[in-house]
Amino acid sequence: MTWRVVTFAGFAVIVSLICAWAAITARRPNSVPLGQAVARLTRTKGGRVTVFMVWAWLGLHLFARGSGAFK
Amino acid sequence: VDTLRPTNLNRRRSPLAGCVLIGALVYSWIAAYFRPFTLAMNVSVALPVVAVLVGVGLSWRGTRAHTDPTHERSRRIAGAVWIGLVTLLVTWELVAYVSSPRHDHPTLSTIADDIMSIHPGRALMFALWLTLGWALFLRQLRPPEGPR
Repeated sequence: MTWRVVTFAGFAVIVSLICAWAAITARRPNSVPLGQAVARLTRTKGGRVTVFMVWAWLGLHLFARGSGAFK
Repeated sequence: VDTLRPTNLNRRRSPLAGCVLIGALVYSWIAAYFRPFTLAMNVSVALPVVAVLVGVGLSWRGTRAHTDPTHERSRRIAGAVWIGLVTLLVTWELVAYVSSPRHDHPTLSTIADDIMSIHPGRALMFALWLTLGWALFLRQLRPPEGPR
């Protein structure tokens, strides 16, 4: 097993856990579903600005600049 | 501006929402034709950013989330699990980022590059980015209610 496979497997496991937790919390009325968790993030002005900057940077990084542009 | 306020209740699908969705998909497909470091791609990214910035400005007054004190403990646990999962993802990404060579330790950006090496992949990623912006900032806004 190579490190590449280990890294991919790690991401796959974490994303699977996130999806599983999202499904579990969506069925529980006394829990915090994904939508509410995100709403909590953007509830305050500081949180909203921070999340906005991260989102804008993501678009710039992936599309306008391209993360592979410096290879 | 005062009539724009967040809500999660009684949301109905409107024809306008369908048009916006189709428009966003078409926009993503067209934007995927452009290359990084070009004016066209810069504009393609800047337009949604400005649109979301306007949305952030409209919702600037802030909102108060409804909290139910009877389930406070279980909600705290659920929130802590969310924080733990995000921390785990960020940690794994950082471990991959500081490791080398990149081929053996791909980051999320590298994985995204592989997906975006073909046009449908680029369009899909662009559409996901637009969707994320809508879900984070514009979904909570609703237009003024008309007279009944």
